[in-house]
Formats: sequence, structure tokens, C-alpha cells
Amino acid sequence: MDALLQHLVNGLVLGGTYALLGIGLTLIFGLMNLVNFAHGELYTLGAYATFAALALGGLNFFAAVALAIALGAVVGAACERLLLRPLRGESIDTTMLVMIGLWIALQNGELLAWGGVAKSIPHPFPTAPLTLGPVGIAPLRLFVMATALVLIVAAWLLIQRTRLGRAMRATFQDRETAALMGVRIDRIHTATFAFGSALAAAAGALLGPIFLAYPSMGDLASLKAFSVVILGGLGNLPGATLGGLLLGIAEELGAGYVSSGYRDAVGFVIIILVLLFRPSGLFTRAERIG
Amino acid sequence: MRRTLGALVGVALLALPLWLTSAYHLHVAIMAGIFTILALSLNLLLGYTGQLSLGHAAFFGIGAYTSALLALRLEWPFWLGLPAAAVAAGLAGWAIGRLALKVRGAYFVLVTISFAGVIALVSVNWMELTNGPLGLPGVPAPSLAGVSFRTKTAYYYLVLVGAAGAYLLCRRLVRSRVGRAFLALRENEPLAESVGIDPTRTLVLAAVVSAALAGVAGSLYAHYTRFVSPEVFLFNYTVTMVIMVVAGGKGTLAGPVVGALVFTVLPEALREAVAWQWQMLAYGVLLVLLVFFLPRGIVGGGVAVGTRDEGPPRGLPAEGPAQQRRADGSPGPALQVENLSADFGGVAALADVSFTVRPGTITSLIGPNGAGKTTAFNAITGFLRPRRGRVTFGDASLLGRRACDIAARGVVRTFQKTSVFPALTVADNVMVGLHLAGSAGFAAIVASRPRVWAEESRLRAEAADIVEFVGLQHRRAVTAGSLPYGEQRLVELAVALAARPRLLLLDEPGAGMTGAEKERLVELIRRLREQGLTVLLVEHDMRLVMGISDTVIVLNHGRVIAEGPPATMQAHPDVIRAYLGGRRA
Amino acid sequence: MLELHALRAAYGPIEALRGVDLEVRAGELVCLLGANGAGKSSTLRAISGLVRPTGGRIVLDGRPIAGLPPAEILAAGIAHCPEGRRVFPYLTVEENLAMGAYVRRDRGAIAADMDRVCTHFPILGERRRQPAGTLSGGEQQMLAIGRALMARPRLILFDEPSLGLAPTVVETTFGIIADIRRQGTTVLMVEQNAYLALQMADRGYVMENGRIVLSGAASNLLSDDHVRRAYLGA
Repeated sequence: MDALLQHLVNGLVLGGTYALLGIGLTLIFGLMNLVNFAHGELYTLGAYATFAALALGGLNFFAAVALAIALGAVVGAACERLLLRPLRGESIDTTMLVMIGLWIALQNGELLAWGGVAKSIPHPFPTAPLTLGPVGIAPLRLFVMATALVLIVAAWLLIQRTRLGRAMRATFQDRETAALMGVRIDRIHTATFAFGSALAAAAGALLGPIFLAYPSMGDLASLKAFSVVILGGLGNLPGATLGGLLLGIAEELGAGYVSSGYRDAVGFVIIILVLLFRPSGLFTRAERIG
Repeated sequence: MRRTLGALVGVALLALPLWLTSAYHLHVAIMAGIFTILALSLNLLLGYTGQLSLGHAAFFGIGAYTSALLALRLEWPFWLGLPAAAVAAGLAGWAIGRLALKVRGAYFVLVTISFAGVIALVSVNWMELTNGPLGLPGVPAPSLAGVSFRTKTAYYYLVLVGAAGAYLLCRRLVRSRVGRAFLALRENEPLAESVGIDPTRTLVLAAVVSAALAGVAGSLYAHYTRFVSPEVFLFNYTVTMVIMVVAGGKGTLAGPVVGALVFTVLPEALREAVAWQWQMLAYGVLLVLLVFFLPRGIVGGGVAVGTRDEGPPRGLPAEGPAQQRRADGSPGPALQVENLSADFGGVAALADVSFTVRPGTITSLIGPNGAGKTTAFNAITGFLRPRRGRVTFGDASLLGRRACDIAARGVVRTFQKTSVFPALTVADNVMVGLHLAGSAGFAAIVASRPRVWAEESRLRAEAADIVEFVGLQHRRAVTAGSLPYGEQRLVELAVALAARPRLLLLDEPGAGMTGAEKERLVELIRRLREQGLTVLLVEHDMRLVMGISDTVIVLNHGRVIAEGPPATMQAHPDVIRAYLGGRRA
Repeated sequence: MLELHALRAAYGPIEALRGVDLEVRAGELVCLLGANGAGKSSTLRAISGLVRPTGGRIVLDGRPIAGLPPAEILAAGIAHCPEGRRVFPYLTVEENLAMGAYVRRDRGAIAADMDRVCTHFPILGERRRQPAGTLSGGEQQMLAIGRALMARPRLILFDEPSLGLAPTVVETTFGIIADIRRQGTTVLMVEQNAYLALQMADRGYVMENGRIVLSGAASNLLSDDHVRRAYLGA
């Protein structure tokens, strides 16, 4: 029983960051109908940016994380403006290919810049785990879970309570009428991509210290983000949150009770099964951004 | 001219080992050959059916492992291992194809990635079978009648045969009715369905062939490097394949070959100068640049299907396609719609609609905006599942059948928005429409049986007749997407006629046409009726409707409110009220 | 107030408007009639900036506005209540209304307007926090109208307000439109239901194949058989 609880807690930590990845991607995929294969690279960028800020810039940990998130937003906005906007009317294959190209370029760029050896990202938390009843949790992981939670709540608030969020939801639900209301669809796209990328970078900045930073870390993250999006339903924010948490827990339980080698297969299997049986996602009755 | 070029290339390839004596160069040539097969296989899915598979490395790897394991564990000779590899990979392709039933586009890509991911994990973790990360060393080289293919020269010829075979297979497939079906799915899936192409079967076929070819490449690879490890599932291979196809030119035959050559030779040539990480980085940037600046790839062509010159138009008078259809010239059966109810967009779009379309007549379905006319069309032709009702055509019930099956029964429709296959020529558009008129299957096509080509000729002749009937013979070699609007609508009509309808449903055929074009259209429809075709049309141009129809059925709010000859409808108070609103008392 | 001169517009290769001339004077209710596909909706969409004209001019109080984006058209005082209502289904009533005022920045006044709309249409007030997709057809139409009003327009474009609504609801809707006009807002209304529209309007235009084929005072058009013929092709 204790082991189960421990797995659940670990799963929640992981799941919180998966939720961040998923929310960002579901917004992008849902709003812009764009298969963002480069999403994982923003995650990697977040980790490396944190590393760079700490190792080279000498910033403190929290500032480094904040910087990484900001950088994610900037890079995301730039990608949208420079690469995606010109391709706006094109078929989905074309945009997919561009995103794949970006993915490859970014990943190998990082490989060249930082080398293939994984980097450990230093953090200020003590390593001794805190004990809360039957479970132990490292302070770092607690920080990660808390920050992820804060960011998820912030994302919700942005979408639900701000003028921008309303415009995003309106655009998702009825693009033409949103344009009729005076919404600048272009800017919404940029904002969405920037926002989603910032969340991905945040996930990377948070998980980097736990798992090390290496150039291909984004690949799996990307896949898991997609599986969260598919689980939760396109454009479904609460679905993505729940889906992320579920995935984290499922992975932890799978690794603990079945086999750790196939841990990453959980995400893949989810994609295949859900698309096979319930393509619209498991949570589609909930309110969606659209 | 093309033949001499082909012959020259053939001779050059055969003579290659004579002047490429270094083992290293031969190695590059062999790898180029293997990648050619891979690129051709990916092109079938990406270039022709338009579905991107990012899991192709999985089929490659399955082929490699199958062949290697059969040779190592069961001591099967290479000549059995190769087809077994193709079968194993083909089965995986079948699985992916079936999955694609439900998903397209981006989701299909994700499924293929996931599939590859799972297979890769299995190969790493299932130690008993695959020896995990350590891989399988010592895969034997093929041998034939005591002669071993161990030398690079010998293997080069083996790979050359394989690559040539793959190219030939793709070529035959692509120029056949199956290849046209692939393209039709890519260009306009609903239209393809409406002329009887079964998207499920077609996609599955494409996936199976594509996967099997990749499996063949895998087997060749395994017996060449004589070592197989989970590295074959590396995403790098898939990326390289995608680059080859996209840079070479997707949707062409030469494209993947050129791409494979360039992207095998180039990295090797640059290997001295440039580390492989820079190469991959360059690939990424290149892919982005290609999409922006060279979307059609190096080869740059469009669709190389049947662009051979058909010769001058036939001199026969355009009697119309009906002549080939029915010897007795009698019209088909009646269409009976009973109590049809359907929902669309959350509202009851059709409520208890009943009407009959008598054979050999032109019936029009009219009604104000939102009355349910297109919904009725969709429900009858299988593009919308109705809630209730009966639709019979003669003695066949149409309700609940798939669109392609309904088309096979002689009920063909056109669409409200212009629907053609934009990248295909006018003649090829009509050839797609003739899909059900042909019967050449995959096996016959690949074996290039004479009856296949006889059938092609016959179909081409029929297509020429149809094109002439609608008056587009001077445009038959022009890509449909570049035609002016009115002519595109004529192409649309031609495609529908090619599917040999006994009942033709025209959805707003006159929309967007000029007055002259509409007159032309009316003339064509009248001639079709003279030949015994039954026509049901939806139109808003009242003059057109009233001028051409035998019967007019008026819908409003999803119900039939009046039915009868045109003159009666024009003066019918319910109809006037439906369109113009009620007057003050 | 609003003038269209030889307006042309196309959707890709299809020419929807082939030279439209019409005029709406301040305070009027003008209706634009015609069969489906005649180009009525396209005319409104060209005015509100959803479609870019390919030729001709649109002039509002002497200022050319053809080709401007919707945000600027709204700022100039024209709101468009689109065909089929097009409320945002998963936004609440309140959020829908807020979207109507998207281009406005005066938060206090926006809030006041929202209250006013909810008072004027009590049903909207009752369902303020409900997702708009749960409202009935007639209620959605009210919401769409309220949303258009939130922009404080001087001219409202209505695109087939009666579409898909039951007859009693149609009456209510037209009553609302008449009210709006009475309070000084100019109205240009596209309707397929010609007689009802003409009964409310000052003047009317009939379109066919992208052009105006008939125009005049509403009372004249009502008694003119031309309208029936234009619709039913006698």
C-alpha cells in the first residue's frame, strides 16, 4: 500500500509536468490545427536554458527557471511569425514537414552546442526526502509539483478570465465570427504558440533538474504531450490536465509493477488505443476551449 | 527519347562496378540502392495517398529482424527470408492501414510514430527474441547455387535488381487504376468515394505495399551489414527517408530515386569535411527551406500519371457515354425515399421526407435556405447517416450503406462546392471516375498482364468520349485545378458521368456559372435525359429549374410542402409563402 | 450614410458580386432580398470586412471603407449579425456579449451596456452564465443581436435573422429589429422571407446573380409581381 502511494505521488509529480506539456500542445494543436512536432524541442530548450542561466549566467535557480519560460515564449512567438504565418493557407502536410524540419534542426543544434553528454542541472534544494506520512518526496519534486500546479492554474485563469483568453476560445470555436468581432486572428495564433511553447519550456525547466538535460530528451516529451492531447481531446484544457496526471500515474505504476523497460510505451499505447476506440478523447464532455 | 535515356541509365548502372572499383564507393552505391527502395516505399504513402508515415523505420526494422532471425535461428536461406521479411512488414503495414481507417492526417502520423516507438521498445526489451541492444551478429550473406554474395560487387548487383524491381513495381502500380485511386484519395477523398473508390481498401493496400517494400529493403540491409540491432529503428533513418522523398519530389517516380542518390552520396562526400551532427542540422534546415522554396522537390514535376500523349481526339460524334452502358437503352429504376429523417448540426434537418424520382425524368429539389436539400442528398448517397427512413433504388436499399457502395449501385452525386481532383489532368480526372468500370487488381497490374493494358486502352477511349461529351476535349491534358471555374464544374460532371450512373444527383450544378455556361449545362442535362439517365438536382436558379424539370419537389424546414410540375409550383401558395413569406391578411 | 458603388467580390474563382450599387440613408431600414446564391450575404460580408472586395467602392459618411479589416469597420460604427446566428457555443451568454464589445476599451461603459442588454432581453439576463450553445434558436438570435448591439453601432447588418426559426419566434425577432430601428440605429437587413421584410422596411433591393435587379420603396415592391418572379423565375 505504501509503495502504491509512493508511486501515486511520483506519478503526480511527473503528471503535473505532462499536464503542462499537454495544455500547451492542445492549445496549439486545437486552435491552430497544427501538429507541432517541435513542441518537445521547446521542452529541451527550457532545460538547457535553465542550465545555461545557472552555469554561465550565475543566476539563482528560480530566476533561471523564469528566464527559461520567458525564452520559450519568445522562441515560440518567433517560430510562429517567421515560419508558420507565411504557410497559413497551406495543407497540413506542409506545416507538418516544416515543424519536423524545425524539430531536427533545433535538436541537432543543441547537440552541437552542448554535446551529447547529459548535463546535470544544479538546484538549491536539499536532497533528503521529506516524509509526509507513508510517502517520501524530495523537496525538488515537491517544488516541481507545486510550480506545475501554479502554472496550470495560471493557464486556466488566462484562458477563462482574460480578454485574450476569451478571444482565443472564441477563435477556436468559430474563427470567422471571431474575426467579425474584430479579433486579430494572426495575433491570436502568435500568442497561442508563444503561450504553448512557454508551458513546454516550463516543463523542461522543471524536469531538467530531476532527469538531466540531453539533446534528445524532447522526443519522448513530444510523444507524451501528444498522447495527453489525444487522451484529453483536442482543445480540451481540463482534459489535458487530467490526461497529463493520468499519464504520469500510469507510467509510474507501469514502471513499478510491470516493467521499467516498457515505461515509455505507455504513452504510445495510449495514442494507439484511444485513436482506435475513442478518437475524440476520453473527456470530451467537459467544457473545452472549443 | 525517354526509352533511350532509360536504356543509357540502365547500362550505366550495370557497368558501375567496373569503374567504381573502391570498396568504399561500392558500399555507398549499395546503400544508395537500399535507400532507393525505402524512399520509393515511403513515397507510395506520402506522395501518392498523401498520408505521412513517420514510422517507416519500423517496417524497415521488422524486415531486417525477420530476415536475420529466420536465417540465424531457423537457417532459412536468404531467398526465403526476403519474401518472409516482406510478408512480416506487410502485415505490420496492414495493421497500420486498418488503423488509418479512423484517422487521417496528423493523427495518422502520430499513430505511425507510436507504432514505431512500440516496436523499437520491443526490440530493445525482448531479449530472448532479439538479443536486445546487443543485436544479432553474424547474419549470413546470401548464396545461390554455391556462389556467395559476400563481395561488394556481387551484393551491388543484388541490390540493383531489388531497386529496379521496386521501381518497376511502383511504376506499374502508379500508372494503373490502383495508382489513380491512391491519387484520388489524396486529392479529394469524398469525391473519390462518390465514384466508388473504397478508401479503406485503397489505403490498406497502399500501406501494405509500402511496408512490404520497406521490409525488403530491411532484409537486404540485414544480409549486407550482417548485423542487426535496435539501431535500425532510429528516427534518423525515418528522417532521412522523408528528406529523400520530399527533396527528390514526392508524388513522382523519379523523385525518390534522385533523393535517395543525392542524400546517400552527399553525406558520404561531406563526411570528411563535416561532422554528422552538422549534417542532421543541415537536414532540418533544408527541410524547412524546401517546404518554402522548392515544395515540389528537385524533380519538380507534378503527377506523372498517364501523361503520355493520347493522340488526336477521336473523330466520332459525341453521342455521350450512355451508349456504352446499356444495350437496351432503357432507364434505370425509380428512387424511392420514404419517411427520411436526419439530423445535421444539432437540428432536425429532415423530418419525414418522402418522394419518388421517376426513371428517365429530371426532378428538381428546391426550397429556401436551410430547407434540407443538401442534407437529403447526403443522406441518400451515404455521406450522412439518417436517423430513420427508407431509401430504395429499384430493389436495392441504400440506407446505411457506405458512399462507395452506393456509387457502385449506379447512384452518383456531385458536390455543392466544386469538386475535382486538382492535380490531375482532365482526362485523368475522368479516368478516376471510371474506376469501377475497370477490374485490374494489384497482382495483375504488377505482373503487367496484357489484359490490364487492354483495359487501360479501353478506359482511355471511354474517357475521351466523356470529355468530348461535356465539350472539354481541348482541355483534356490540362490539370483540373488550373481551369476556370465553369470548366471545373464541367469536369465534375464528366467525372460523375464516368461512374456510369443510372441516377445522377447534381448538387447546385449551376452555382457560380455565367448565363452562357448555365445554358450549356441545361443542354447537357437534357441530352442525358434523352439517353435514359434519371436526374435529381438541387438548384437555386429558378429559371434553370423551372425550365428543365419534369417534376419539382419543394422542401421547407425539412419537410416536403409541395410536389408537381414547374408551372404549378410557381403559383402554389405554400411555395410562395415559403420563399417570400406570408402577406398581410 | 452607407453607399456601395459597383462593388465586386469573389470567393476564389467564383464571382459573387458583379457590380452592386446600393445606398442606406441614416435612420432607414433597408432590406436586401433575393434567392439563395444571389449574393446577399456576400454583400454584407464585404461591408463588414470579412471578404475583401475586388472592385468598386464602399463609402460610409463619405469615408471609403472597402477592404478594411473587421476591427476597423466595427470602430467606424457598423456591426454585423451573421447568418445562422453564430454565437460562440462554449462561451457563456455574458462572454458572448463581451466579445461583441471586443474592440471597445471603455470597460465601465461596456459593463453598463451589458446590463442594459440583459435588462432589455430578460431571457439573456436569466441565462447570463449559461453556455450559449444551450440556448434555443430564438434565444441565440436574441444573443446575436445583443452581441451586435454591444459594439454600439450606428448601422447594423442583419443576415437572414429568420433563418431556421419558428414563425412566432420570427415575429419576436422582427419586433426587436423594429425596436432597434425605432431607437435610431440604421438597419440593413438581408432576408429571404421577402414579404415580411418588406413590411418592415422603408426601401428594398432585390439581387440576382450578384447584381441589383430591382429597387424601390418597400410598399411598391410589396405590390409588385416582379419580386415573386425574381424569386420563383416565372
